[in-house]
Amino acid sequence: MRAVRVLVAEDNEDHLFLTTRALQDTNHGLRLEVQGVRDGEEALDFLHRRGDYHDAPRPHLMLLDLKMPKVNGLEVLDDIKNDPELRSIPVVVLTSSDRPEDIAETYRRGGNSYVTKPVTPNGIRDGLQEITDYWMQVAALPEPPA
Amino acid sequence: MEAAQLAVRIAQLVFFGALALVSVRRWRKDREEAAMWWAATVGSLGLVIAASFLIPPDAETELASWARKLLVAVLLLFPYALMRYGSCFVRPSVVLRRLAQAATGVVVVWTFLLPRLGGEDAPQTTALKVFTFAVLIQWTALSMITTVRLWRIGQHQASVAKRRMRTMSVGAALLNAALAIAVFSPSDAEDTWWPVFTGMLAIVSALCFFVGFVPPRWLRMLWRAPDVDRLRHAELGLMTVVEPKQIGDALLPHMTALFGAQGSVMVGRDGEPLASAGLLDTEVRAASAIATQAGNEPVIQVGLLSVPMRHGWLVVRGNSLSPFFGRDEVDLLMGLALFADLALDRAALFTLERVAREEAERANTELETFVYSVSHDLKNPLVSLLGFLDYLSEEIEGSLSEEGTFFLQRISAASLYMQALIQDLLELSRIGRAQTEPTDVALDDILHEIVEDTRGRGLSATITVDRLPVVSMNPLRARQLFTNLVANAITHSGRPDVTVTVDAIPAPDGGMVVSVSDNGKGIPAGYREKVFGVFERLERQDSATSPSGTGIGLAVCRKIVEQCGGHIDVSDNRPGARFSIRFPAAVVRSGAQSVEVAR
Repeated sequence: MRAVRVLVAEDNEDHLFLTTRALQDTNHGLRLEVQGVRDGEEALDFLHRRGDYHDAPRPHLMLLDLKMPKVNGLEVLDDIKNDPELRSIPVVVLTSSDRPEDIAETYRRGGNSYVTKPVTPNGIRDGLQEITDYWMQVAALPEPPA
Repeated sequence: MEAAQLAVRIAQLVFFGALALVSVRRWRKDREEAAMWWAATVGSLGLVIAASFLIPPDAETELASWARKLLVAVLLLFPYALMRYGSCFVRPSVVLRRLAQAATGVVVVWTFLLPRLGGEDAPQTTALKVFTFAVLIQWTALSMITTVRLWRIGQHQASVAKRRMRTMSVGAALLNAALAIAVFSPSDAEDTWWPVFTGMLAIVSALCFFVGFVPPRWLRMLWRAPDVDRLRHAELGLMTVVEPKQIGDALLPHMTALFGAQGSVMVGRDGEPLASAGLLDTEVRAASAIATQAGNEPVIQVGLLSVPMRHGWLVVRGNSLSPFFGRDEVDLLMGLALFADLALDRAALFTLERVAREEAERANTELETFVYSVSHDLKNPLVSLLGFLDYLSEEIEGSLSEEGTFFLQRISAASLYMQALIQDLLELSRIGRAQTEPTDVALDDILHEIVEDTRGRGLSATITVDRLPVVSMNPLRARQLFTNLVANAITHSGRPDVTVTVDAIPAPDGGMVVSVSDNGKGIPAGYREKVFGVFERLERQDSATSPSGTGIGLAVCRKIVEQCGGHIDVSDNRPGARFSIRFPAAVVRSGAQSVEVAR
C-alpha cells in the first residue's frame, strides 16, 4: 500500500487529535502517515529539517491552521511558497475563520485551497473525507521534494 | 480791506488756538515725546498769534520791542519743534540735528541783538533785511526737511496713518509758503490783499494740521476704505480654514500689511504662538510674552500693539510709528480679533467634532474586531465538542438507552444552536466591517430570487411582489435583508397558508418605502421596537432547533438598512405585521419597476 505523508499544523490539541483521527479513518486504499506540529515555528522546523526534525521526510500534503502562536499560518504559507524546494507541496488551509480577508490572503500567498472547519455533527470527519477525496483521488499529488 | 485782514487774523487765532488746546490736552494725557513736540509746535504758533493781538502794532516803547522780539523767538522755535516732532518717528542724523539746533540758536540770539523791532515807520535797515533772510532760510530749511520726512514716514503705514502724516506734511509746506510770501511780498503790502492771502494760507495749513492730528470720524472711515477691503479679504480667507495655524496664516499677512507693520503674531490662550508672519522666532516669543503679561488689556508700546481675544491675543509688531497712531489701530485690531475669535470658534468646533467622530469610529472598529475575535474563538470549542460527540456516539452506539440517546441529541442540538448564535453575531459584526462600494440593485430581481428559493425549499406560502425600486446598496446585504424579512414572515406567521406581500410607495422626501407585510399573527404593539434588538425573540425557545432562530435576524436587517441611511420599523397589518423600510432619496436610483406574482 502506497504511503502518503500528511503534515498537520494545528495549535489546538483537540483539533489536532480529531483531524489526525479523521485522516486515519479515511479510506482511499492508501496508507496515511500523519505528522502533527503544534505551531508555525515547529511546522517550519519540520519542513526545513531543523533540530529534532533533521531527518524528517517531506510531506505530500499539508493541512495548515491560520491562527497559531509564534509564527502564524499565513507566515508559514509565505515561507513555503517562497522556498523553491518546498513550494510544490500543496497546502490546504483548514481554519475556523471564514473571513473574506483570510480567504483572499491565503490564495494571494499561493495557498492551494481554503477550507473552513465545519461546525456540524460529524463535521470534521466528513470534511476531511472530502478533502482527502479530492487531493488523493480527484487530483494528482506531486512527489514531495527530496 | 482792514476788516478782511482782521477777520483773517481772528480766524487764525481761533484755528491755531484750538489746535494748540487739543494738542496740549493730548500731550497731558499721553505724555509721549511725539505728543509733547507736537504740542510745542502748534502751541508756539497759537501763542504768537494770540500775543500779536495784545501788542499794538504802533507801540514804540522799549517793552513792545522786547515783547516783539520774544514773539519772533517763539515763532523761530516753531520749525525746530516741528522737526523734533518728525524726529520722534525717524531719527535724523546727529549732524542734521546739530545743524538745526545751531541755526535755531543763532537766529534766536540774533533776534535779541537787533536794535529795535517793529513799530510804525520802523526803518527797513540792511541789518534787518539780512536778519529776515536768515530767518527765512532757517524756517524754510527746517520746515522743508519736516515736510519731506512726514510725507515719507507715512509711506509704509496703514491708510489712516499715511493720510494723517501726509496731510500734516502738506500743512507744513503751506505754512512755509505763507511765510515766504509774507517776506517777499511788496513792502507797501500793508494795504493790499497779500496779508489776507498769506493769512488764508496759514488757516488752510492750520486746517491741514488739525485734520491730520484729530481726523474726524467720517474722514477716518473714508481713508480706511482700502483697509476695509483688505480686511474683507482676510475674513473670506478665514471662512475656508479650520486649523488655528491656517487661520493665522490666512489672517496675519493681511494684518501685517494693514498696519504697515513688520510682522504679527496670533498667540493662544496658553501663551504659545499659534501662527506668525514676518517675524523671527525670538521676536515672536518676545511679542507673545508681552501680550500674555498684559492679560485682558490691550498694549500700545513703542513698536508693538496687542489686543486680547477670547482665544488668546493678536499682536502687531510695528516700527517706531505705532505709538502715536495706536488708537485707531487698536480699534482695527479689535475688529480683526473678533473675526479671529469667530474663526477659532469654528476651528474648535470642527476639531471637537472630528475628535468625537474619530473616537466613535475607533470604538466601533474595536468593538467589531472584538466581536469578531470572540465569535471566532468561540467556534473552536464547538468544533471539538461536535467532533468528540461524533466519536462518542460511535463508541457507545447500541449500548445506550433511549434516554441516553436523547441526551446526546440535545448536546448536539445545543452545540449547533450555539454555532448558529456565533455565526449570526459574526454576520452582524461583519455588516459594519465590510465597506464595499454600493451598486445599483434592482430589488425586483432580488425578490424573484428569494421567491425561487422559497419555492425550492417547499415552503407553503404565497409571495406577492409588487413594483419595486432600484436602490444603491451592497447586493449581498439587500438579499440578506429581504431573505430575513420574508423568512421571518413565513416562519412566525403561525399559519400554513400565509400570504407575504412586498410592495413600494414613494416617500414625500423623494425616497421610497418598501414594505414586507404578512397576514400572520402579527407583533404586539409593545414589542415592535424590541424585536430589532440583538438576540431578541418573541417565542419561547422550546427546542434548540425551533424555527424561531437566534433572534438576531431583525438586528441584522436594521443594521443593513441604517448602513444605507434608511430606517426600518414594524406596524400592524390587521392582521399580521408590516415591516416598512424607508430608503432615502440619495440611494433610490429609480422608482418602482415590474410586477410579479409568484405562488
